[in-house]
Parts: sequence; C-alpha cells; structure tokens
Amino acid sequence: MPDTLSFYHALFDYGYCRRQNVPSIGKVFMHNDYKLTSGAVILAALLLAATDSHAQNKLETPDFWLESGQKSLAAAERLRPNEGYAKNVILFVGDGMGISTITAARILEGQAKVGNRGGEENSLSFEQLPYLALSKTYSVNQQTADSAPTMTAIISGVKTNDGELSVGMQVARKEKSAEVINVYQVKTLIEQAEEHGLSTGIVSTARITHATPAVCYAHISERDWESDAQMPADATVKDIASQLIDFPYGNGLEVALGGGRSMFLPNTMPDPEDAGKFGGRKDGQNLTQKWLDHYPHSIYVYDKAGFEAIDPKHTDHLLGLFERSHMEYEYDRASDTAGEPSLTEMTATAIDILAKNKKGYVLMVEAGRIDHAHHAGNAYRALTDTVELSNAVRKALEKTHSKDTLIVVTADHSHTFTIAGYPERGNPIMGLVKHPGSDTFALDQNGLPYTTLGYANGPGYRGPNARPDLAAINTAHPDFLQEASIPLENETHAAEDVAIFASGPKAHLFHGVQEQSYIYQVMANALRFKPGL
Amino acid sequence: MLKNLYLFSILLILGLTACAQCSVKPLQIQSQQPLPALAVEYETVISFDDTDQAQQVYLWRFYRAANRLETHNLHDNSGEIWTRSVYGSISYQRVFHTQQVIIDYLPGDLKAIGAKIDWLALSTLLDSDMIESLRSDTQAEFLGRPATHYKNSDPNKTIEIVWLEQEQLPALIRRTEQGHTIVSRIKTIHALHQSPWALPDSADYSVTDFADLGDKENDAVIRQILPKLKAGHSHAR
Repeated sequence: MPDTLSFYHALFDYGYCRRQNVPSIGKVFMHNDYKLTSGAVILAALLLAATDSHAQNKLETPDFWLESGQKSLAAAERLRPNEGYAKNVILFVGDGMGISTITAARILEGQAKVGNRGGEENSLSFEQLPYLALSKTYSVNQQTADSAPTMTAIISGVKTNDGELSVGMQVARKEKSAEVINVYQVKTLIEQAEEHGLSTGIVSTARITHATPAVCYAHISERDWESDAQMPADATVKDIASQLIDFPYGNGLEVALGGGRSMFLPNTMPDPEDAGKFGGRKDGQNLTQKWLDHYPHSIYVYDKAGFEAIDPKHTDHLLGLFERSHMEYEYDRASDTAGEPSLTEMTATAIDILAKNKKGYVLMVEAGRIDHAHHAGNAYRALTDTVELSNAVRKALEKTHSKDTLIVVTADHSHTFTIAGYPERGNPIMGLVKHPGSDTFALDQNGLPYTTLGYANGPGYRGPNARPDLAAINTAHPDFLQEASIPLENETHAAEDVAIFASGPKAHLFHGVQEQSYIYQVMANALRFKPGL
Repeated sequence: MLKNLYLFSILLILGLTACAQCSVKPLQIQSQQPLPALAVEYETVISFDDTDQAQQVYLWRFYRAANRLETHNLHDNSGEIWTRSVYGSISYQRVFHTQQVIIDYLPGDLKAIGAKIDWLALSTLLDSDMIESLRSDTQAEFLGRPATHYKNSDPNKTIEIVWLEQEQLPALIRRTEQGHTIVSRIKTIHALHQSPWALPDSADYSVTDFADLGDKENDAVIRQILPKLKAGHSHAR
C-alpha cells in the first residue's frame, strides 16, 4: 500500500482518504510548491553576494565590542528608577510571543535594514526598554496554559484555570450560573481604572471577544461563549460580547478596536463587508447599535475608510469591528476587501481618544495573531505580526512620555518555535542553514538541508517518510510551513517563561523571574490602585 | 520522379499531422462562462493490485453553483463548502453533519496554511496539471449524454477521464499508480434546481474558526474531528 500522498494529484487524496475514510476534493487543489525558479536562484545568489556578512562583520573587532559594551554600561549607570506614579498605563501583549519569536522577528526586521551587520544586532522597539523580567506562565490547572488564565493573571493579578476569564480557580469550566460567577469574579485593572475615573481602551487584531481582550472586561467560565449563539440555553451569565457593551464600571470603555463583528450583529443582518454572510447572534440584538445608543459622542466603524474618518477630539466612545472574525495578519492586511487599520494605527487613535482624560488612561493592545500563525505552523506571519507589534509600541512611545506613562510589553505564553542549527551571521532567518564560510547548505544525517526555524510539533511534520529535500524550495515564502518534529494538526503553546519589557513609572519593579500575576501588581502599584479592590 | 516522390512525402506527412491534430485535442474547459449548476452523485472505488487489500467504495454528492461548491460524503456524513465572494476571495468550510460542527477557514487562514485555491479546479474536479496532460481519443456517451474520452501518456501514472461536454464535468476519472487504482464515476446527475437531494442544512451548526483550533485542546468534539481537518500540508514529499 502506498503511504504517501504523491500519487494523488487528481481527484482524491488517497492518503487523506485513508486517514479519514472519506473522499475530499479540496486538498487536491491546493499547491504550495514554492520552488525556486532558475531566475529566483540567480537573484537569491546575487542578493546573498550583495549582503556579504563576512565583509560587514569585519567591523566587529575586539575594540568594537569593548567600545559598544562601554556605551551600554554607561547607559545602564545613567538609568534612574522612576519612583513616581503613572498617570497612564499601556499594556502590550504579543499573544504567543515567546522569546524565540522575539529573536527571530528582530533578525527578520534587521535583515531588511540597509547597512545591517547580518540582522542579528537589530533590536525591536520594545527590546530597547530599560527594564526586563521573566514571567512564569503556568495556570492553576495546566503546566502549559492558554490565553484565558494567563491574561487573567496579567490583568487581575490572579491565576486561574485554563479557558476561564477573570474568575477565580473555584469556578468550574463552563459554569453557567451568573450568581456563581459574581461570587468568584476577580477585578481587572481596566475595571479599577474606570472606577477611578480613568479612560480605558482595548485594541486587538483578534476578535475583541477573544480570550485575551475579553479577560479585560468580561467574567465568564468559558472562553468560547463569545456571543449568545455559543451559550448553553440555560446559562444565566451573559455572553462576552454583551458584557463588553454592558460594561458596568465608570462610564464604560472608551475604545474597543479589533475583529469579531459577527458576535455583535444578529444572524438576520447581512455583514457590511462580506456579501452573503450574516451576523452570528441568535437573540436578534444588534450590539453595535446598542453601543451607539448607550454612549454619547460614540462611533461604530467597520472598515478602513470609517476608521480614517474618526475625529478623536469629538469621539468619546469608539467601537471598531473590522472583520467578522479575527482581523487579517499584517502580511495579508493590504489585500483585505474593505481595508482595515494596522495595529499601529489603532494604537495611535486609541491613545488620541484616551489621552483627552486629564486623569489618565489604561490601554491594552494585543497582537493577537502571532499565536494563530504559530498554531498554523507559519513562522513568517508570526514574525511579521511581531514586527508590527514593535511598530505599535514605537508609536506609543512617541505619543507618550516615560515620566507619566508606564509601558509594559509581554506575552501570555510561548510556542514550540525554535531557532536552531549553526547558521553563519547574516544567514537569512527564513532560509536554510549554511555554516560559516560554507558555500553549501548544512546537511542532516540523510544529506538533506534544513531550515533555521522550526517547530517541535504541528502541521509542518513531513513524515512518516524521510524529510523532503528543501534545496530547491523557497523557504522564505510567506506561505511556507516550517518543519515540525511531532505531527499535530495544530502547533501547540509552550510552557517556558516569557519576557516582560517595561519603561516609565515603577518599571524598575520588573526584575528577576516572577509569577505572571506580578505584572498586575506593578501596574496597579504604578496607578496607586489597591490590588484586587 | 524523385522530386515528385519528395513532394508527395511532404504532403503525406503534413496531412497525417493535420489529421492527428484534428483527432487528438487537449481538454479545454469553458471557463469564460458560468459552468452549469449541477447536483451529482459520484461513486469512488479504490482498488489495489495486492488482492489482500479490500476494495474501498465511497458515495458522495457534489453540488455546483456559480459561487458555491459543496460536497457531502455519505460514508461519514461530512462535507466541504467552498464559497467565492464577489471580490473573488475564496472561503472554505469543513462540515461535520453528525456532530453539527463547521470549521471555518477564512481566506487569511487558507493563505497561512499555504493553500492556493484554484476555483476552476474545484468546480471541475480537475487540476491544471492533469488537464494539460490529457488528450482526447474517442467520442463517447455517458448516461445518454455526449462525452469525450481523454487519457494521458504517462505509463507510470495513467489517467483517463470521460468528460461531459455540456455539463463541463468529468463523468469518470480513473487513475492508476503505484499498485492501486481510483475510479470516480457519476451515478446520477441533475440540474441543481432539480436535485432530488436537499442540500444539507448547516445553518444552525456550531461554527469554529480554523484559527481558533489551537485553543480547543479541551473540546471533546473538536478533538474528535481534528484528525480529519485540513491543516497545513507539505510541499515536497
């Protein structure tokens, strides 16, 4: 019996049939060869020759390192803790942005810069923040956690169970009773900020009802209960989208920007962007209209044109839902049907609206799709979304002052993403490993080249046969799926610590290896909030 | 005399070549106009040279409209839906009727898993590589409908199809390669509006985004269907 898919290029994928015992027409008509044409090979060779890392690295003499080290030391000695309190807090979360993701994104961005020394020396914007700590991401019940308990720890200071949003560990998963939820809900920094009269905003490239953003404003025992359509019929707790609109603290959220439009529109209402598609709510409610009815000087937008027409001076409550589900990956954003703003643009507009409040604001910004790209085994999109997060942080740094604004950049959890082999300096981070000084690719025990980037598990598994020969494959293609060691339909989260970068008031309190829930403590302390109250 | 013989030979060769070209034609799909909307039931049989292996037989239905394609595998009561928007972007849904679950692949998800979708190939069940390899040999008739028989010339991977000219759909596809043969054959065919089978109603099914599957490790239904899903795939086997 054949054990590969190779023969089946016509109607049925036999391997697929064999696994499923069903026919399928779809898989057959998907191609991702990414084979390098002879022209592309020549162009790649010319590019490599033009970016001769050996020539560039002649700059890196012993004197160079000693001198640059002295500069870094002097900068560290000049560093003075900002003991003051914060007027504003901006929390950036790269969903699934483990340290290897940051490193690879740093190199990818660096290799695109003119005059780079290989790209490895580059720093993303948030890597230049002065204070750093590590965060332990385990949840109450899982060694490797998901976004729900990790973000609950970050924003409320309380670790909880997997899949649960801003409730204590006493609550069972899928608990339906609003009474039980009310007893055990934990207060979030966003809620505290509203109670103190600050403005609040939530920005995400995922659905705004997805776990990470939802943790900020919703208390629920199941992350999937994003609209009433997903709720059990006898549940008394409100769905996540309803909790966003009915947010009972202060004067409500000032800014909510992201995807997830279908969670807010009734299933009888055509989607404004995707012809033939409808909202997802079964209760007939149009929550976007409810937002407009509820808040004075409020706006709801769903596309790039609407977003660009916003006047922050005259907008007090902004709801932007730019996709039925998640927003596009940054790499694909330009081809979106109705157009949508970038994370950087959303961050800038959010700050413009929130900064009108003299008392200050708390803003959470999530790069939500780093995680999705990793789950799909697609490193390119994970890294380009990470670079876009860096752009958003840079914009926030430009629009604020470190004297009164605490900026924290962290991740909720990591992924099984690896940077491996011994590639020479300047080796394309998306490419095949080439050892220093070698004209040929490094080979595995079977004589086959391999990429620098890979995953411990996921859909990139190429077995059970021998590894493919990637020599003629363009592994830098945005749609290339990096190889994985263990076959899983979806690549998984990973349990190692993630980084916390910070600047501004109380940022110096980020030090050492901390529980993830410590992040909340520092942010609350910076705002002079009593933890948990 | 020699000159006449030479001229005769040239004319003979030209004539034979022209004759060959008129009888052996590549398959050309009428892609400029909407393909006929159809409801078709296929039977697919997979048989093996190794007689110890049992033959596998599947029944499945194919519904084709201008911007929507749906399959329904009767064997396990699952299917696929492909939808083309007015802007040309293509979405894909994997449908599990028994579990009443839809996995929704948005255009961005398909890109992220390296899926480049060819709508014409989905609509005709023939991909472009296959079409290029086929040449007609005889006219045929299938279920009383005019058809053309095509085959390729690769002895290691033989492909033959019977192409319904008016319906623009293969009535039969036979592939033989590496010790096995797959034959898909139309059992019945109808205009879509005269379909005897109701399209599976999936309006009330639970919908999960493909992008969210990575966070569904504790969902029993998702765990059950996950092995059947279209995730990423390799490119250099």
